[in-house]
Order: sequence, then structure tokens, then C-alpha cells
Amino acid sequence: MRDFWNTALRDLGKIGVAYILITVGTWLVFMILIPQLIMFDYSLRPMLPLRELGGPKDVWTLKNYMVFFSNRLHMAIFFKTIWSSLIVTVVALVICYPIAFYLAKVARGAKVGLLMLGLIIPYWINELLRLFAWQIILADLGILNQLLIFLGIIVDPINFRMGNGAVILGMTYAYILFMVFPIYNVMESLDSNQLDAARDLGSSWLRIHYKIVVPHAKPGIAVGCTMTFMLAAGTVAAPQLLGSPSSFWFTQVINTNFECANWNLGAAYATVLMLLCVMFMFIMLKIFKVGLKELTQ
Amino acid sequence: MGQDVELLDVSMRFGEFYAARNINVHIQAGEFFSFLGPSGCGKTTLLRLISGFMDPSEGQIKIGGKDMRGIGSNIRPTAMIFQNLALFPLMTVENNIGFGLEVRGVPKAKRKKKVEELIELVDLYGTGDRMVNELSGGQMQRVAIARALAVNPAVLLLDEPLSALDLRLRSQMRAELRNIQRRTGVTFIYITHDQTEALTMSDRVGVMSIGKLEQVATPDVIYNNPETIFVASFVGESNIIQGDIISIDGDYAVLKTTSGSFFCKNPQHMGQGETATIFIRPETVFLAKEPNADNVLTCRTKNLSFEGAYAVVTLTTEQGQLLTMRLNNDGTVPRIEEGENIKVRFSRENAFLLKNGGTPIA
Repeated sequence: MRDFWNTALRDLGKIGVAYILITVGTWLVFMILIPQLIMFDYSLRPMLPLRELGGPKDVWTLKNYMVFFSNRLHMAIFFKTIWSSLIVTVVALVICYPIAFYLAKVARGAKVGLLMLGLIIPYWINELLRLFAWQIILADLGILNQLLIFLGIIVDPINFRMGNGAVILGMTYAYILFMVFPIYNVMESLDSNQLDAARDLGSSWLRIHYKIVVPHAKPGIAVGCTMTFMLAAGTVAAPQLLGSPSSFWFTQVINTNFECANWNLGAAYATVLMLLCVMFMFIMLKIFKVGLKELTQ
Repeated sequence: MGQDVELLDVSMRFGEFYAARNINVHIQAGEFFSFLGPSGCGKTTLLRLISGFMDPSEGQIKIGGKDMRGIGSNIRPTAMIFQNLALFPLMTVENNIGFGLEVRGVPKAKRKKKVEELIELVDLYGTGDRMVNELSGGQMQRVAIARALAVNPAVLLLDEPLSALDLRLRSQMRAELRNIQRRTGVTFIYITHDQTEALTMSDRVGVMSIGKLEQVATPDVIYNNPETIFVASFVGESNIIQGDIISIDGDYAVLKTTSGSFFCKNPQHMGQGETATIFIRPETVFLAKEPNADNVLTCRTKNLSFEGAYAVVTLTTEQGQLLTMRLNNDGTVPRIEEGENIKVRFSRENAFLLKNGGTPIA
């Protein structure tokens, strides 16, 4: 620890160290710690009329959490959200792994740049607008239905927005970059000679991926999956814009609580969601046998 | 056992650039063959063509008499040792060596036995369950050799595998590679820019300039009878004197230069009037005892560096022609001072004329 401070002081000087401590500290305390603590505090208090705040009834209780665990519908939505977010994560992984591999190990020169650009350009547009675009594509009289009817594949328009399909599609599209880049980053550091060596020793491409590429890319895959899952579980825009009543998302339940002015219940629900995401991260680390330290690399 | 490798008019083009052009060579089964050349001469390209990572733009590669076009590197009877070794860092030594066997579906017990044999062959006792990045450079080298030999290749391709080792380890590994090659009978194709490596290990050496195979011969022929200026200047050190041929006498010719006229061998049978270059190795230049004999030059010593077993003397003639002489420290050499004028000579047997042209490396 002392070494750490000495190196920091030598490299950055007193002003530099102070600057970093103050900025990072402020951000950490005011943007993360305090809001989370306030939310946690809210979640432990009952919803009371204004005049009773600070009164004898305003004590910490687990009542809000009990409400969640006793509400079958909300529990169902919660688990459905986990399930759907897992699907989004898996679909994104299946789509992004080959893209990342192609970018990192196959494409050369200008192709890499063009493909990167292609991946990034959609992110120049606001997420809401991107989702609206999908709404237009998937609408009853939208582009996709019209195309299918024109091609004679279907007669009557399909309601794509029934069920979870549209939400999962929209989210997968929205979070592709968060899956591609972590995987691309680790794959790029893989020595191409190892692929050649494995090939030269008689390995099939499937085995090369299974034995060489995936083990190497594990930290990136873990990061990509964690980010995609958290974003999927935590978004409210995609289910709102692309979902149907049957695809209600847990974030929408939280949102409704806040809108109904029951901030305390909303806070409890949000805390549950946050715990879920933290748990998911640790499960990912466990599955991929990756340490927290490797994750940040 | 080894198989022969035949390159027939092989060319490899990347866009407009030829990495290799019209390469013809027949490497015998069980031979230790080296491609020697400066970096960027296309020797690694040749190796990758033989191993099947790519197919030549033109020409044909045959291994064991079979045309290899379209046959992938995973099917060819070759195994490659990469310059950076390319060991699998997330696997143990055993799993690295056994990788090729696992891929071929060799049952576990049999695999284990073979891996143990190989560990013994390359002298890696007791490291089987270690991770490869816990090993020393020399040990990693051995793992790479064992991993490649595990698949019983007919041809082993080695891409400057010793370049990362320190000098002492390198000479030790040289002897061991040669030893392993003799014991296994596998055809070794070795790539290097280090002439000592090529000359000491190989049965035959192919010297390459940019994309071109200049000469294929045994190490002593490459050194003593280089066929091109490139080979003469790339392999070993040489004194180079340029001039015009003024007369021919059988296998010999007389070259007129600014520093005098000299008798030399004329292996390429060049004719009178042609301009040519004489090559003389520094160890074949001696102090002149009879000042009126042929091929004597009067020089001033510019520099003398004593290296123990021998001394290297840099000389210059009155006309500015530079000459290097390597004197063996055999007790007969008189003391020479820097700045002193001396007479040196060389035998016509040790001086050979080569055609000008090509790309000399000096």
C-alpha cells in the first residue's frame, strides 16, 4: 500500500494525486454511494403521509420486501425478466462471438475499420430512437410485415409485438457493442500463431475455438455477458416501446411504483434488482473462473 | 520416418510483391535442410507454404511425392515449430505435448505413454504437470519440439526457433536438434538468418536473397565455392576486389584491378574483357614471404585486433583497396604494428571470380 502511494506521488505529484482523489472521491460518494444508500434507506421505511414522516411510525422495517415476496405476479415478472435477460445475453453472445473473432483474427486493414464503423454508427443515435425504429419495422403495418406480404410469404400481418420476441430482439440489437468489444479486446491479444499451431497439429476449427480461443477469451466473455445482462435487466425503454402487456418487465413494475408515488416500495424493488445483477456478476465470474482483477483488464 | 519435399517452380505473390519467385529444390527424406537468408527474404513464406497455411500462387509442392495443393495444414504430414514457439499458455506441459494426439483421438492411456516418451526424448523430466509459462526459455523450446514430434510428422518445419535463446543455450540446442533429427529420421526444414546455425546443423543449405533461391549445396561448398556474389558476401566474410579480366588460362583468369593484376579461379568461365569481382576469405590471406611471387599486395596496417586464437588485421593498399587478413596465432606470426607497411599474398586457389550483378550484402 505504501509502495502504491509512493509510486503515485512520484508519477503524478501532490497536485495530481489530490486531483484524482477529489474527483474520483466526489464521483464515488455523491454519484454512487449516497444515492444508493438513500435508496436503500427508502426501501426500509414504510410509505407515510408527509406529516407522519419522522414520527413514531417512521421506523425501519422489511415490510416493503415482504410485499414483493408475497406478490405472486411481481415475483413472476421478476423471474420472467431474469429469464428473458438471460435469453438476450445468450443470443447476443452467439451473435457477437463470431463478429469479435472475425474482427480480431480474420479481418485485415480497412475491413476492420469499416466493420467497426458499422457497429458504432447506430450508437450515434439515441437509444430511444433506435427502439422507435424497431417499432416501425415490427409494427402491424410495418416494413417487415409489408415485405413478407409482398413476397407472398404471409397473407395477414403478424403481430410481432406479442410476447417477448420484439423486446428480446430490440435489446440484443441495442447491446451488441457491449458484448462485441470486451470479447474483441481479449481475442486481439491472442497470439495468432497459437491458432496456426493448433491447426498444424491437426485440430478442427471447432476444437481450436473450444480449446484455445474460448479459454483465452473467457474474461471478455464474462464481462460482455455481465454487461449485457445488467443492461437488459435494468432497461425500461425497450419493454416500454417494443413490449406488449404480456412482456411486462420488472423495471416497469419499479417504474410504476415510483409513478404511483410509492417510492419506498419502488426502492425495495430496485434494491432486489440490483442484488440480482451483483449476484449474476459473481456467478459469471465463477462460471468462467475469472477473478475480479482479470475482469478489469 | 521422413518424407521428401519437392518445390517445383514455386512462387508466392502478395499483390504485386513476390515473396518467393520460381523456387526449385528437392529436399531428401531424412535430410536436415536449412534455408538461410536475411530477414524479409521470403524464407518464412516458404515454410508456411510447405506447412499448408497457404497455397503457392504458382508452382507445385510435393511431400512424399504427393501434390499438396488444397490440402490443409491440419492434414499434411508436417509439423511446425514457430519462432515464438506458440505454446498454449493455458495448458500444462503434458497437455501441450499431447494436444496433437488428443486431436487425433488417441486414447488417454496411449497418449500418456507417448507424452512420457517425448518428455524423455527432449529431456524434460518432472515438468509434465507444470504450466508452460513457469518454464525457462530452453525448457519451453523443448516443449515446442516435443509437441511437434508428438504427431509423428514426416517433415518438421522450424522457423528460427533458437533466436530467442542466449548464446550458450543456443549452441547446446543446436547439437540437440541435430541429435534428435538423427535419432528420429524426420526430415527437418530449418529457417534461419544465422549462418553459423545453418552451416553447423545442416546436411544442405539453401541460401536465399530477396524471394530468390541463390544456391543449394552442402555447407562446405556454400562456404568454399559460392556461386553468386550474394552467397559469397552473405555467408562468411570476404575481401572483395573489382576489376576487368585481361586474360584466361584454363580454369584460371587474370583480373586487372587498380591495386594490380591477380590470378584467380574462374569457376563461371567468364571471358576476356568482362568485369568481375574477386572474393578472398580473410583466413586465406597470409603474410608474403617471397615478395616477387604472384598475388602479392603492399599494404599499410590500419587496425589490428587480437582475439586470442587469431588476430584480425585490417589493411589498405596505396590505391585505397581495403583488405582483411585473419592470422592464426600459431607462434610463427611476427609482431605487426598499426601503421606498418607489410606485404600480403593469397593463393590463386583461394581467390575466385564471380560475375557482377545481383544484390551483394557487404
